[in-house]
Amino acid sequence: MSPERWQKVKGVFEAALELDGATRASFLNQACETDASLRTEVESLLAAHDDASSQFFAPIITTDPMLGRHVGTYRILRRIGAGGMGAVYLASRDDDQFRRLAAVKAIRPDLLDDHTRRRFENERHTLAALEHPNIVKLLDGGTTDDGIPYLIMDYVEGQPIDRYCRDSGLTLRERLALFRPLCAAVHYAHQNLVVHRDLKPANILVSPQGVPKLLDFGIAKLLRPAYAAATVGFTRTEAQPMTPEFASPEQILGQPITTASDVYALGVLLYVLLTDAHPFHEESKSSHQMERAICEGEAKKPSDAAPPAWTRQLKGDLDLIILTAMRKEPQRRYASAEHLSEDLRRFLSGEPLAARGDTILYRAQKFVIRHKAAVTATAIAAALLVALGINDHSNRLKAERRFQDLRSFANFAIQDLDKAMRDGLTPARKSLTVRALAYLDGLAREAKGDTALQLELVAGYLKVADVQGNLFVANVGEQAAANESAQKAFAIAQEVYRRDSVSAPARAALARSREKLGDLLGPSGNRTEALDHYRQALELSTGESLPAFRIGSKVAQIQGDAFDPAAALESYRGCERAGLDWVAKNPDDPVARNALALARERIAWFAMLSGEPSGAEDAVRSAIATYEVATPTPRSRRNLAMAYQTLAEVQKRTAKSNEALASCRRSLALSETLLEADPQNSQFAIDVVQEKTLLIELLLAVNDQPAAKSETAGLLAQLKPRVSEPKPSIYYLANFVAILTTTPFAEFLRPEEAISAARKAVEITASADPESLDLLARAYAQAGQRTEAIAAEQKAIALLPPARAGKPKPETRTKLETALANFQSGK
Amino acid sequence: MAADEIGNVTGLLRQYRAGDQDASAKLIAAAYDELHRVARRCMGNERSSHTLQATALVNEAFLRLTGGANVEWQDRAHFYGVAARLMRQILVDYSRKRSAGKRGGGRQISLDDALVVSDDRIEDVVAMDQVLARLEQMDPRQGRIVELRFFTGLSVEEIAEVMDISTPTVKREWASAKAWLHRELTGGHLR
Repeated sequence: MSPERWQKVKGVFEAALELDGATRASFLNQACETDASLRTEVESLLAAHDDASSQFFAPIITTDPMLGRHVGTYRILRRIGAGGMGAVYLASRDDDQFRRLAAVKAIRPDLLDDHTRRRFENERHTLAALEHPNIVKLLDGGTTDDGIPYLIMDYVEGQPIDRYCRDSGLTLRERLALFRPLCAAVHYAHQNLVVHRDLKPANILVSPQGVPKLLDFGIAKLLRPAYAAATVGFTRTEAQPMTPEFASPEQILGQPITTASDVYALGVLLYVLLTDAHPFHEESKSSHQMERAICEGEAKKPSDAAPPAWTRQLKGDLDLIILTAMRKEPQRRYASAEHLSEDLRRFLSGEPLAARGDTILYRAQKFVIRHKAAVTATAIAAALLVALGINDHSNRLKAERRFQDLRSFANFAIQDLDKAMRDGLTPARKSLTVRALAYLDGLAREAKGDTALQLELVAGYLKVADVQGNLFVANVGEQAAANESAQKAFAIAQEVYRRDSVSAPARAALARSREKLGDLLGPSGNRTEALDHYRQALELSTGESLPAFRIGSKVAQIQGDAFDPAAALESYRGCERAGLDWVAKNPDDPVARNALALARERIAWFAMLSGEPSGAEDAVRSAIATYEVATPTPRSRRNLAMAYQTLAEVQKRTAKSNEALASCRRSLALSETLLEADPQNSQFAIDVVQEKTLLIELLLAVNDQPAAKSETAGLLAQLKPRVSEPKPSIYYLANFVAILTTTPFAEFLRPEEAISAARKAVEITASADPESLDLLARAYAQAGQRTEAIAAEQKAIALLPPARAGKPKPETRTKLETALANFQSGK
Repeated sequence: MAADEIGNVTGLLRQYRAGDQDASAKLIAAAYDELHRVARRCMGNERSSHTLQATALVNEAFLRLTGGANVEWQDRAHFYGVAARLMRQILVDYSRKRSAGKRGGGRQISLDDALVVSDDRIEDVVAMDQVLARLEQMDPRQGRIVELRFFTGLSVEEIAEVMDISTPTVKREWASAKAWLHRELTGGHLR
């Protein structure tokens, strides 16, 4: 358009723009009377004007806040890439005479919740320990002042492997030669307990010198929940990778991911490199269809998928090698990336393949099928154990290999069985524990001075201690064994910490060990020691909201156990704040919501014990509302049972006996269901006993004597064998004595048994527990031994923290002082 | 920047206004460096959530170049003209490299620039540059308005001030320019 013409068009357009509807139409009729093309021109501009998106015309540039910043010892120079996870930058370090280039990966902060962030911190140290010529080294990582997590890694200039193979026109044998070092790198990482989880061409760069380098080892796991959040349409999302192209069936099905998942991905990668086609991907397929194909479909043989020129070379051995790596069942794939590489070597040198026979693991799997185990993950672990056993006896593997396999097993048991162990059945956990311990002890002997391995051992022993008998988690009632495992972890952590007290993983490991020891010592009565461990753990930990909540709640528990309900209440209010913060940041995280509910339930409990019960019922009801809608797992159901128990106690104290009775029955029903499903769980057994004791008390309060009587008979019969064990639980002893000393039914009175059980309770709690001493006093009083009763009660009261001025007297103090007065007055 | 250099920039602006081509080249070099320097400095200090608009960048670069001296408005207008042209050049070069890199598959695209166009707008830059070149041939003043707005982010009022025209004129010109550009970009022209 000529400038003159444009001026004319513009003039008419501007005038028309001021008008609307009929006025505009008549104006245009007039203005364009003799010039139809002018009208067309103006009308199309008017339409475009109405249509023009302000988005497009917005000023084009913003600046990237990461540029020019310092992360760690590096300064960010420029952006070299961006993706769903965040951006990648080129950075350099100039603080010595060498200029070292690095790539900095900044993770979008919204992809990480508090939990993931913590794991990110913990695990990047493990990843940083990987040193291999074909693995891009992770140099450092951390979080910027304003909360952007980042990883710093070696800067590699290179092409993705698939493009490199194509562009350089590599022959089949050259491609295999390029591929085999990758197997070695993956195997090396597996030996170091790291699974890649997201192997694909984009993560494998080939340097200009032709060296393949693996990127982002273990990163997929760090970001796993984020991947899940970013993936729409999956039902079981926990282990979903971003793209399904290289995902194994178990990844798509949300089953445990192991080293075998990487072997699968290597198989797909080799398929792609040798055929230029993807085994399951076709343009027309949706990602859902592809997932189905991966889980159920049969991949075309590589020789059928490849360009005709390569068909002959692929037919036979290479078909077999690739499809063996890609088998649907993890157990039937190559046992390791090294085995895959070995078969490729044999192919290249014309030797017979190992894949011609079924793998050792396949035989192990058959064993598992014969001995059907309840938990899939446990079955896989058993398969592994059997496989290792076979290896031992077959002399095929040297000691070195055995050591490596043990590490893989430890990794497997620790990382992937964790969830199954926590939520699973007790016998499964117990047998796994025994085996895991044997392996850990074996490893510990070889780990001296090896920091990375020692840190892994700390984690391993702590997991085992968890399973063995931590009251914070499900347990099998083996407190002593648990303590022993935790002490082993603690000793190793101290050794590592002494070597390097500034190292974050060393500090974290020591903090976790101390926290675990606190967990184990607290319930057995060593509260001062437990509190000491917790305080040191807090000191060693950074001030994040999750540890603040977790350790804070443990401190509160100790304070509660030390009969300082006001202090406990205060600590739990701190936990409530941490919980609110956590929920605000992660509104959809059920863990956060449950944590908040837990704090509120405890607030109700300690408000009640502090003698300030107003608001307690609302607090516990808020907790119940959360637990009722939580996914029913043993843990969430136990939380619900405990909340109803608290509600019953609160209602009992506010003269709502009938409501209290209903709440107590609900609580008991829940606990009994849990115990029925897992009869050897001592925690559930203790819960049931406590709820029955409360039930009896409430039945008496509503004057239901017959029911109270039969419940008493039942409970005493249940407790008798428990309290005569050599090392009975304090909970059984306390409930036993409480019933014997309060029952209104003469036939249940057993003064000597009560005294002996109470003495045992005092002994177990090292004469430091006022409630045990109070029970002993009551038992003495019941037997008519008034002097002993007064002495014991005075001792009990002396153990209580001093009453606070201006505050209501805590319930326990009132109770004990009333009892003492009664003994003294001879009532 | 040293004081004599600042004086130099003010002098360059004056020479540039007088039509000195050599001064123009020197001014462009100075402005280019300063834009980058300001951008980097901002990056170094600001909180991460902060995104810096090009306007603020140019303003600050200008203030620093002139040392806050009382510069005549014509010089200011010239400076913005130079800056807008520079920004456009930088962005178009960058976007071309970026989209070329994209087609090539990714990782080793280099960008020596503290200014970033979000990925989804790379195409916009190149498209805008091409279609704007045609608008400039039809109507140079309108082209400058678009350049100042789109590549430098100046507001209507700022453009009016810099170009010494009235705000309603800028608005009118912007409206018809937008309509025309949009039509050309979306192929909505009925030929």
